[in-house]
Amino acid sequence: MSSEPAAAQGGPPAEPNHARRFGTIWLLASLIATPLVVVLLGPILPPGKASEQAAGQVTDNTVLLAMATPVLLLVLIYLAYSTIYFRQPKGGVLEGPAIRGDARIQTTWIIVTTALVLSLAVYGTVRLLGDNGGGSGSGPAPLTSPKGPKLPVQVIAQQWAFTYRYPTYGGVETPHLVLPQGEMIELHVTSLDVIHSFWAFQLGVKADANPQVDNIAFVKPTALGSFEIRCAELCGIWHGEMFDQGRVVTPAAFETWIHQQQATFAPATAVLPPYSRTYEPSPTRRGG
Amino acid sequence: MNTTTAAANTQPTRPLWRRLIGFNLLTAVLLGVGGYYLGWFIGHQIKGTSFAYEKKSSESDVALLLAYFFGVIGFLIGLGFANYPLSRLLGRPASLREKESEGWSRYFGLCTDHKVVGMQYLIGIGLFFFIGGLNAMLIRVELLHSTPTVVGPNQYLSLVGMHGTMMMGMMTSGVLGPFANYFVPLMIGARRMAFPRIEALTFWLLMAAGFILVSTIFFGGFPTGWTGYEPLNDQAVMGMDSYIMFFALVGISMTLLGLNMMATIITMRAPGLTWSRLPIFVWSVFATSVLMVLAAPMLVATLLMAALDRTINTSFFISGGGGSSYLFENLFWFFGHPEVYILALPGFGIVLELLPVFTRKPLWGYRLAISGMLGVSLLSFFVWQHHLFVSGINADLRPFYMLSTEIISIPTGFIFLCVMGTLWKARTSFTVPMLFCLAWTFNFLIGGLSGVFLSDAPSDTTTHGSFFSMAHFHYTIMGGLIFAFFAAIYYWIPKMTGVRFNERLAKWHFWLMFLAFNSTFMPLFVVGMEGQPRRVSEYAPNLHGLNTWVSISAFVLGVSMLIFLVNTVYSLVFVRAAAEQNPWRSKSIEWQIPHPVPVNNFEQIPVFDSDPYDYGVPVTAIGGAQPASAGA
Amino acid sequence: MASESEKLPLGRLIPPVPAGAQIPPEPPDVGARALSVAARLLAGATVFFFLAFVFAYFYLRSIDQGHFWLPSAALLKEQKGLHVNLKPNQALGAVFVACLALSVLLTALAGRGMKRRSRSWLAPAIGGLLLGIGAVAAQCVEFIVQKFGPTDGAFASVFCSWLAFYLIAVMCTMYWLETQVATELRARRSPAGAQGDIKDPDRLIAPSLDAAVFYWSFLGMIGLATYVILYLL
Repeated sequence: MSSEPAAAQGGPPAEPNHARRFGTIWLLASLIATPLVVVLLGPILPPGKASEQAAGQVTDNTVLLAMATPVLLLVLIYLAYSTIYFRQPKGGVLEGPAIRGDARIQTTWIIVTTALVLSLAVYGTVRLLGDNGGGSGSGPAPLTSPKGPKLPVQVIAQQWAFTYRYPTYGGVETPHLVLPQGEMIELHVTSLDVIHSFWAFQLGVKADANPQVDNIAFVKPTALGSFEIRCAELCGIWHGEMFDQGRVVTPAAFETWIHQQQATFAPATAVLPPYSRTYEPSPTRRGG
Repeated sequence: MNTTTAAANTQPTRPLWRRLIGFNLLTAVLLGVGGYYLGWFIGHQIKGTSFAYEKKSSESDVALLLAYFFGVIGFLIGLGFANYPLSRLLGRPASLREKESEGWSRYFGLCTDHKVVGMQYLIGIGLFFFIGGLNAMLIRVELLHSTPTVVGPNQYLSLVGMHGTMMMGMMTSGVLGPFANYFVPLMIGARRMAFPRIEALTFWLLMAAGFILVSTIFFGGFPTGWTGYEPLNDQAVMGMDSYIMFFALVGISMTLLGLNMMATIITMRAPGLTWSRLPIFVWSVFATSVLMVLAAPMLVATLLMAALDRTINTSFFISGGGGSSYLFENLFWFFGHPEVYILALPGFGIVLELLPVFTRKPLWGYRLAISGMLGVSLLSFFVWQHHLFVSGINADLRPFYMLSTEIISIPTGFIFLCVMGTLWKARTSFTVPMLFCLAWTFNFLIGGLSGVFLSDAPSDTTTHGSFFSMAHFHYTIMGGLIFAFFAAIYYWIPKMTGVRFNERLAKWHFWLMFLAFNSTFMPLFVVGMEGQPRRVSEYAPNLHGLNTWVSISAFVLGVSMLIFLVNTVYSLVFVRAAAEQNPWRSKSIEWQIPHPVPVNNFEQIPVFDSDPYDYGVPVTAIGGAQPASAGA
Repeated sequence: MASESEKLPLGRLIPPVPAGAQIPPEPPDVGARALSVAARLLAGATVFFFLAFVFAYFYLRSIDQGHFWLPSAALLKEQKGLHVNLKPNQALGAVFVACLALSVLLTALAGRGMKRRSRSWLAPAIGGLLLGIGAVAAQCVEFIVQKFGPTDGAFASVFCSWLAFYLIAVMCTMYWLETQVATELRARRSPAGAQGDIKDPDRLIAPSLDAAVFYWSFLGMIGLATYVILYLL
């Protein structure tokens, strides 16, 4: 956008170069705000660093926030600037300049926005595939899975509770989730009736539980402590009550715990159907 | 009573009881109730092995669906919609107009005057908008506490579902219904819509649908929210059938509305009105209509499948019988994503249409705006699986959907550039419609940027199904469409009614609404990021403070709506101060017609020679300034 | 506060058309173009409606959830104690699609005849109408004769519901054609209306028939695809 013509000798003062002024303000604001946002907000962004996947999401959110800040500032500062400087005087009936467009600005805008969003798409893809789904449910046959040993844990969702089965420990089914720290967990999420969603907030895991579907998510907890589990897909009247606390313990504590569970639930394990990736309860048509 | 035209009306006034007999709303209600009981009766007579369980319980989905179906048929017959099809069946000639010569009662029945249909839509949609808003207030009352305190879980979910469903179903026609119906024929220089009777039908279908949705409370409500996911849908009690019937009727209404709009815009433009001179609002209506015609039938088909699953035990969505819950999610969101663009596009159109009037400049980047809208329309069919990133559906295709979702923000960005370009060096008067347009820009910016977070699959892992996505779509749909809706109301009511709003109350409405809206939904981004799922009445205690703040802000938002209602009643019913013919000094053609708009819109069909953005002083300068004719 | 003289009368919104008012006639090609555009838009909407069923067909077939796409007799027996045959009756299906195809041909013939202003377009139109209804009847007989119902697995669900909705669409189109036939029959018995007015029955039959023929051909093609997918694949 161009400035108004310079005034003739001795005429009224020239109008300020709005483009330069606005551009300067925006540039300064972005240069100050973006690092501030990254440094101050980045470390405290949810979901936290309790697992590799959660930490990855925090990084992604920080990058997205860093890219969004200048865009946000561009439009907000522009709105403020135009509200302050481009006004109709009180009771006036002046007309503005009849500018219908500017090919250069439009082309620049198209190129810049295209580059921005394409780079975000690439970044998202790299992070999604590089992080083996980043904690999200990746279906029954994920495209990428982490190398090395994985502990399979099945999350069975039903109206209105989650239970957890450990196939490598005799298929014992427990009412609470305990995971060993530092090991890659392969979660198999399935449902017995309607659609639920297993959301382990601090671990950065969310995988929908569909009947007859095995939805796999990978997570490697890195911090000890407890994490919130909530159902994230409306599943009926007690959907809001479908929450629990999971725990991440040391591998040794985990071994102790799982053996204790096997002993406690041995009678139940005997009558339960054997472990399988999906279950078909009967009657099939109406659950709950 | 309509005194000025009664004299012109040469029909002798019949006694009231005579006038009540005939094809009108009273007959419609009576036949509707009759049809309801007929359907109920038939439903209970149907025998078959599949229905054995239904007979044992008092639940009968077949009976309720048939009752609704026959009720709607009876309602439409009572209004007189069957008369024309029957007369055509008998070979009587085609006709266009019906009941346009009656007085005020034509607002309460089938009337083919597009201006009457526009007013009907405004009142009808307004009514259901406030019902949906009331549901929202009740939701926020419940969420004042972190444990269920006020209503039971079933009622809470029904409130949530009714709020969402009512809003999504009604506000898709929220701009096209009132404003496109009233103004598109005026803006294109036509005397009528292409299919006036169908236009009236879309309105009454919507009213029947709204009534059916509200009736869900008598049948136990529905627990699925507005998305109606299977198999919970299949499991649900009879109230679910109200949802299915509502959305099916809305889908039919939307398809017909879009079809009518497109036919009108394509075929009925006045001489000289080429596509490149069309007002941008009409373009946005066109882009929206494309989506309505193509996406809404998919919704109808999906809901019919759901109804079949619930009644005659087909197995579309029940995995035990060979179906799949994934099928529903895919089909629903194939409609659902274009649906949200049906909501967003008219907002774009209104803001871009109003900005030139209040900035006294032509619309900047007219062709860019059009390509933005059409680009959004086209791309909206390719992004739907971004609602399903964590579902396990087609996980390998997620990079594609991330890409397509990111790409759709490019044409959306065009709209912002056009807004900013029109504001450049403008002479802005901050009237109430202009304030709403500026608020739209702010709100949709936040909504759009939060969408960028949601479109990134790893980031979406935490935010999907949480209040973050709730805040995102409220910013885009409410902050976007509803603010534009109010801008349109304040802008066009002087034309539609000849009366002006009270300026002070209007400004109070705006400021309270804008501040309360942001105060309500901005913290919800945090609430979602902190782990609160959607549609729950029990949440983590540490989020109690934020939720309380949000609820109180929501009540203030409700108060701002009350101010609007008070202003409406006060200004339009009591004060009735006459508005000037063109209070905004707009150059658009609808403002050049006197109020009240003549019965056939124009004395003579106008001939157009330019677009309606002939504002501003031509810029002639040295040093690279653009001359006025440099189009974009 | 506005003074009483400035106050608009309540209810003076949009004046009604005075009874007996002369509505300026509009050239008939406006209505004709609108009908033509509407037929094409309706065709698009119909395609997307049936697209949902096409998608359901291929999706459910590909996942064959629990082997219930075309459940074996044993599986069904186990569930319901019945022995059913899940194959549709091919003979009746052939009759159905043949009637469809012939009806489309005859109606197209009628459309061409109408364009040439030949009076003999009525006969093929009536023939097409009857054959269309015949196709519906054939499929209804097939529904009665077939040995399975909509509850017998996913294929059965898709088969029965897709065809049922298709038949409804066919009946609606037959109604549309019937209005053209009826209007022509009535017009032949009475003098033509005012020249160039939309009320003139003669004037609007041609574009309306044209639009109906287009839509019916389109629906016929959808019917052919329906037949291929449901009966042959």
